[in-house]
Amino acid sequence: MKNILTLICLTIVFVACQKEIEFKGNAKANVLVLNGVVENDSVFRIFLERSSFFLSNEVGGANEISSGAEVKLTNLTSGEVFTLTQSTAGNRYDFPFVTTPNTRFKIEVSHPSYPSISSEMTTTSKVNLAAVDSVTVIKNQENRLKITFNWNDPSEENYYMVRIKQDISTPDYEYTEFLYMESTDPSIDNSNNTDIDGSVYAVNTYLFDDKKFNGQQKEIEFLCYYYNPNTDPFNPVTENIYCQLITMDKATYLYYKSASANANSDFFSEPVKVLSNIENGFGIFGTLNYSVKKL
Amino acid sequence: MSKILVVLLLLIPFVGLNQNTEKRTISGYITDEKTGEKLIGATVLDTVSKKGAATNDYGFFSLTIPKANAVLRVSYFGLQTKFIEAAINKDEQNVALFTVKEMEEVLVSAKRQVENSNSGTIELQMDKMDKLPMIFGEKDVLRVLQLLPGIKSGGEASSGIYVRGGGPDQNLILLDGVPIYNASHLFGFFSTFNSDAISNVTMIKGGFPARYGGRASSVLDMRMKEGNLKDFNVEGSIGVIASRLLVEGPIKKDKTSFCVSARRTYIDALFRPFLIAAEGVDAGYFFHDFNAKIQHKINDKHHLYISGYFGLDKIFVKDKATTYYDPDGTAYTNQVMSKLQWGNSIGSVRWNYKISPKLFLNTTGTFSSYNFKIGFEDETKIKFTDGTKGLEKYAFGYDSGILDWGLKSDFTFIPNPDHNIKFGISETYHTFTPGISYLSIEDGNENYSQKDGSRTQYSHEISLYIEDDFRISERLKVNFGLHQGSFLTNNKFYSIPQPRLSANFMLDEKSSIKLGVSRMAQFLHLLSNTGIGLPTDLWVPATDITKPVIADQVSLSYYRELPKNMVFSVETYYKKMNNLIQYKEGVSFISGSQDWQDKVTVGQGWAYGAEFFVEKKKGKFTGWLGYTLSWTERQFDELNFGEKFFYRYDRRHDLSLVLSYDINEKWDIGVVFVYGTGNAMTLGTQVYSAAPNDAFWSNFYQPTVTNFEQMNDYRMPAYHRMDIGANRKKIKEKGVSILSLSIYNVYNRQNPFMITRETNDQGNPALMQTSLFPLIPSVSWKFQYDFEKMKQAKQAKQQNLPK
Repeated sequence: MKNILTLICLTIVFVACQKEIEFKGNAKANVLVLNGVVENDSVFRIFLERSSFFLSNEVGGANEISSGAEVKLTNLTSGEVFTLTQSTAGNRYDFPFVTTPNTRFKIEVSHPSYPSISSEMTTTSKVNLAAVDSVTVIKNQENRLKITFNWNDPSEENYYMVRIKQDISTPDYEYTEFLYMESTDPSIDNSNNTDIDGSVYAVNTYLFDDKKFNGQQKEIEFLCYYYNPNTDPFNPVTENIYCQLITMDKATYLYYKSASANANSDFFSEPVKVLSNIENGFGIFGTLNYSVKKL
Repeated sequence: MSKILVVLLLLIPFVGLNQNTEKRTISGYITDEKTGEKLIGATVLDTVSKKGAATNDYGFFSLTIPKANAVLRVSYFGLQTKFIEAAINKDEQNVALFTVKEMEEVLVSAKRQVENSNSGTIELQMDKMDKLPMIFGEKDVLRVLQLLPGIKSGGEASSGIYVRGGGPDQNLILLDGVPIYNASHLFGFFSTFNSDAISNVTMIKGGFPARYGGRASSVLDMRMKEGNLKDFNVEGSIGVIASRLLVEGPIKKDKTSFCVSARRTYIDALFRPFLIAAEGVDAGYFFHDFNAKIQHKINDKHHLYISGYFGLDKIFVKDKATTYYDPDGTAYTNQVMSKLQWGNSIGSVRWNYKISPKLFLNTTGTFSSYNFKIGFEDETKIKFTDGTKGLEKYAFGYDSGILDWGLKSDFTFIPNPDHNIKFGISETYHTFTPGISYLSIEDGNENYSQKDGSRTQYSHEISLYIEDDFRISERLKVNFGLHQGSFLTNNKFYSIPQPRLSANFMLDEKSSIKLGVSRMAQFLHLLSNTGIGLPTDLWVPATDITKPVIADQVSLSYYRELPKNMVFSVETYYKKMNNLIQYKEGVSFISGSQDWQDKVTVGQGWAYGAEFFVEKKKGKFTGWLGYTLSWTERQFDELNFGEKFFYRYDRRHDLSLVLSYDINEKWDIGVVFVYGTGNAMTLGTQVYSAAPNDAFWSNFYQPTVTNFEQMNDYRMPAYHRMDIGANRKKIKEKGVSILSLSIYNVYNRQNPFMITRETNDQGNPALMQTSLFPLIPSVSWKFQYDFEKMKQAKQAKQQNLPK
C-alpha cells in the first residue's frame, strides 16, 4: 500500500507527460544544398543534395542529387565555363581541372524541382608552416606530446584550422587518427570546449583567426594525448605524424565554426545558426589549403 | 532634461519653507489598533483646510495646516475611519485604527488609483490572497502578481516574473528594503516568500519614484510583519507538501514585539524511507525558509527594527554502498554522494528617527547573500587482506553566489501638504563569486587539488536620490526626481543619472490620465540560459565589456472609476533596453569557461504594448480582468547574424480572469483563468548534410545541420488553465480555522514546458511536447489562535458569565 501511495504521489507531482503535437509553423520548401570546400592542387569538387523537412523520414541518400540538375561553374578570372548535368559518383560532381589559388569562381545550379542557387568565392593562397617541433612531457602522470607550430602570418585577414594526423601501419592493418590536443594560446577560443569545472578538454581540430597576431611570426603549442604504438618489440609498427596548418577563406571558417557549435550544442545552449553563403539554398562554397610538415 | 530636473529639485525646499508662517505641523504614526503594526499609506485629512497627507513606508505622517484647532479624518483600507480632534497645542498625534467587522474590499489596492501620481503601481492586500485557489495550498505572492497585466510568468512551473519585456533579473525584489537575488524555491515553482510573514506588497512596473534604483524593469517592495505589540498570535497551515507556522507577540506590551515564521516541505520525509527500503538510495529534496523580526520603540522619536530571512533548497542523493573483491581478497566499498543546494540569507537593522515634525529619517544596515553549490563525491574504502585500510576519493564542487553589505539613509521631508520630498543615500558592497570549481583527488598515497573558475569580484554601488511628490493644483500632481546610481568595479567607474517623472492629471472627479517617464540603470547582470529560474543562473557585475543595463521607459495611461465599485484602466508603454547580455550561440551554463565574460554577448531590447484592467473592488462578488497586448524584441550582434528577434517571453496576448465570491460567512469560492500566447522558441525545420570533411567531423559525429530561419520564430502552443478553489471558514472559541480545497488546472490542460524533436512510437521523427502539471487537487488547513478571545472566554468562565 505504501509503495502504491508513493507511486501515485510521485506520478501526480513529478512525472512530466509527453505527447506528440502537430507542427503549426510555416514549413519551408526544400531547397538545394551545395557543399563545396575546394582545395588547391586538388580536383575542383562539390556535393549536391536537397534539404528536407525536419519531421520527414527523408535522410541521407534519399536527398542526394546525382542527375536532373545543371551545375554551371564559371572561372571569373579566366572566363572559362564548365557545365555538368550528371554527378561523377553519388552526389559528387568533379570538374575537369585542378584548383589553383587566387582564382574567382561562380557556381550556379538549376533544377526543375527547386529554386536555382548560386554562390561566388575566391581561392586563397597557402600559408606555409615554417617549422614544427615536438617534445615529450608529463602531465597528470601521463606522457603527452608537446608540438609547436611556427609560421609567418601574412598581413591580410587569415583563418586557420590545425590538426595533427597520426598514420599507423602494421603488416596486418593501417589506420589514421587525429590526435586530441589542448592549447591555452590566447588566439584560441576554448569557450566551447571547457568543462563545467573550468578545465579545458581536448579536441582534434582547432579553428582560429589571426586577429591577435596579424602579420607576425606565430608560434603556438599544442599538448597532445599520445600513445606510443611501438610498445610491443615483437610487433613493430610504422608511425608517421603529420602537422597540418590549414588556411581557409572567411566563409569556410565561419561555416565550420558555426556548424561545429550547432553539432556540439546541449539542451540548454543558445541555438546556433549555421552560416551559408549559398543564395536561395544552403551549404558552403569555399576554399582551403593544406600546409603539412612531418614530425 | 536632467539639468532642468536638478534645478527644480534645488528649488523644492524653498518652495516649502516660504509657506511656513502662521501654520502648525501635526505629525505622528498611524497604527492598527489590534496589532500595533504601522500602516503604510494611511491618509490623514484636515477636515477644515481640506489638506491631507499619507503615511510613509514606516507609518509616519506629517501635515502642515493653518494654526488653529483641527479635526483630522484618519482612514486606511479595511479599517474603521477615525476623527481626531487636534487641539492647537497638540501637534503629536499617534492614531490607532480599529478593524472593520466586515471587510469587503478585494485584493488589489483600495487606495484611489485614479488619484495616485505614479502610474504602473500596484499594492496587494495580503489577507485577501487566501481567497484565490493555489497549487498545493501554497499561497504565493509572485503567482498572484503574475495575474496582473504587464506581469507575466515564464510558463509552466515558473514563479519568475517578466515585467514589460524585462528579464527575471530586472526586478528589484526587496524584503524589508533588502534585495533578494533568487526569489524561487523548487526550481522556480514556488517563490521564496512565506506570505504569512509579509504585511505589505507594492509592485511598480513604470513611473518609478527616484528612491528606487538598481534594476531596469520593476520594483517589488515587500515588508515583513513587525510583530503584534498587543497580543500573541499563532497561525499556520498544513498543506499537501509543506506546512507553515507563524508566532508573533509582544515582548513588552506596546514597546517591543517579535514575529517569527517558518515553512518547510516534507517531500523528503515522506519518500526517503521508501527509497531506502526499495533501492537502498538515500535521496530527497526539501526547502525551508525562516523569517524573524523584532521591533522596539525606544521612544516616540526612535524606533528600532531587526529582521532576517533564511531560505534553503537542497537535493541530495547518496547511493547504496557497494562492495567488490579483488581475486586476492582485497575489499573495495564504493559509495557516491551528490548534492545540490541554494539559498538566500538576508538581514537588516533599521532605525527610524523622527528628527522633527517635518523631517523623518530611516537608516538601514543590510546584508544579503545568495549561494549555489554543487557537490559530488566518489569514495572507495579499501580493506587489504593484511587488515590495513586505504581510501580513494574523488570530490568535485562548484560554488557561485553573491554577497552584499549595505547601508542607506532615507529622509522624508514634508514642508507642507503640497510637497512630500524624499532624499537619501546608499552604499552597497558587492562580492561576486561567479562560478568557482574545486577538484580534489586522494588515492591513499598522493593528494591532488585544484581550484578553477572566474575570479571573485568586488564592487561598490552608491546611490543618491531626491524626489518630490508635488501637488501643483487640485487637478495636477507630479512626482519627479533624480536617482544618481554609481558603480565601481575593477577600477571601472560608472555613474548614471536617472531622471524620473510621473504626472497625474484629473480629467474629472472619476478619471485621470497619467504620464510616466523614467530611466533605470542596472549594474548587475544575470547569466541565464533557461529563464525558468534555475539556481545555476549567475549574478555578475557590469564590467568594461558588459556595461550596465539602461532602460528608458515612457508610459501613458487612463484611469476611470466606474459604477458599482469598478475601476477601469488602460496603460500603454514603450521601453528601450541597452546593454543586455545573453549567452553566445552554442554556449550554456554547462559549458564552462575561464571567465563568464567569454561566454556572453551584449545587445539591446525593445518592449511595447498596452495593458487593460477592469476590477470590481467591493461586494460579495469581486475580481478583475486583465489583458495585455505586447511585443518584446532583442538584438545582439553575435546572435541570429545580428538581426532582431522576438524575446523568448514575447507574449502577444496575455489574459487573466480572477473572480471570488463570498457565498456566506462560512464559504467563499475563487476561480482563476489564464491565457497566454505560447513562448517563442527556436525550431530548426530544414535539415541537410554538413560539408564533408572527415577530420573535422570526426570530432562531432553529427554531420547534419539543422537550419532555422530566425531565432525564436516558432511559437509553442498557447498556455491556458483554470484553477478553482473554495474556503470554509469556521470561527471557534480559540480562533479561526479555514479549510481550503483547490484544483489546479481543472480541465487538465497539457501546457507546454518544452518542445523537442524526437522519434515517436512508429519510429518516425515527431514534434514532442513535454508538460509538467496535470490536474492537481490539493487541500490545506489554516488555523489562527485568537489569544484575546481565549482570554475573554477564560475570564467569562471564571466569572460564570455567558461566553
